Amino acid sequence: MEYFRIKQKPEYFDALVIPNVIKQIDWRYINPEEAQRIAEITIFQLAGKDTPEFIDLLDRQLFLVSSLLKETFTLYAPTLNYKTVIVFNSAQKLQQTYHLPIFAPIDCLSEKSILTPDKRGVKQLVLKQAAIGRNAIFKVQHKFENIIIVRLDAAESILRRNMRGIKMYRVDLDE
Amino acid sequence: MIQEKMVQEFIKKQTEGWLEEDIPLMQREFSVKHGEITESLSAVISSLCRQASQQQENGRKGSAAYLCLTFLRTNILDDRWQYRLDIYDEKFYLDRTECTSCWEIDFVWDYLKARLDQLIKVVSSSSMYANKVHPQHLEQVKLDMAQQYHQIAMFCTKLVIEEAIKTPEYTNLRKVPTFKILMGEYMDKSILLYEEQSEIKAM
Repeated sequence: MEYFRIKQKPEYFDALVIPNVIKQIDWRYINPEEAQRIAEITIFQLAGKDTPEFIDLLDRQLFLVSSLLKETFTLYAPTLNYKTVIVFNSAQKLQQTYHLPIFAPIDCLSEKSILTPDKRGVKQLVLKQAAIGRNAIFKVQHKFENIIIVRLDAAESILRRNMRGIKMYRVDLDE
Repeated sequence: MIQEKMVQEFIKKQTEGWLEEDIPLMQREFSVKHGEITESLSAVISSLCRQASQQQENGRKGSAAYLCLTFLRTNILDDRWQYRLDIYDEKFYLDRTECTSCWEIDFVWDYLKARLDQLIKVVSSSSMYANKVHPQHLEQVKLDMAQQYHQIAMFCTKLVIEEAIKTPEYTNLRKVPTFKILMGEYMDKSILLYEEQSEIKAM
């Protein structure tokens, strides 16, 4: 089976950036055990006059998905829980809902992965096939990086829905 | 926003008539290369059948019930112009034993590739759109057009499939009487290319 790392497309220069999102939602709590410490709904106000692009996936700060992408995720990972993030701009009368999936990380990072010299980032991702099991959408356990992986059928399903701002990177597997 | 609208108009104008112009060319090439295409498909199917037979011998797969040829957007985006072939047993998509291979149907994609290259050239040479058309626009064009060309590929495959499965490996594969060959999206909408009706033939 083939797997893909799903990321925000770097080409959208004016993609939405939520100010202070990591101050209000602590990334250390984004796991099933401590998720109750995160508020069900968090609201952010956007300043400025420009209209940012509300693309379907944001991963610059936190991994946030739009409602459409959440629906697609639900087809492949029905038990996944979400917290809601709402961004609005009262001057522009804009409002957009995003969802923060609470993944239970899976320890499937292979030793063959190439890390950056300071060991904080992953340059080339290699996953252990056996550890993945039947998960279609999952998070790889890693201390610093937010690595979300989708299986081929989920990836095709996402691409078929014509969403904006999503890029898939093929991932190598360790047999 | 106005800029985005302009780009969309420009792309629409550029991509207009690609398929209509290419269909006669593809038809001509198809009639010339008919044998070659059949052979390449036949080779892929025989190796896939061999793989499935081995899995059946090991008891990991039941009698084959479906052969699916699928069009993958992930492959297209990675510039892999291939179709994915899978053999499933009666459990269909719940069959976890993977038996897969890929097939390159170049004679359809070559036209699309040439068109895309042409589009990139037009974009980079036009002073108006060179910095307005972004890679994501081109990617979108690629996906949209690939879907249209995929329809042509389906019809061509339907024409050659009966020839292509005349191999000893395919005949030797343990199959259910209603073995079907499908083509379409991965685990989604597909069309029926061929159906084995050995029970009727036996009567």
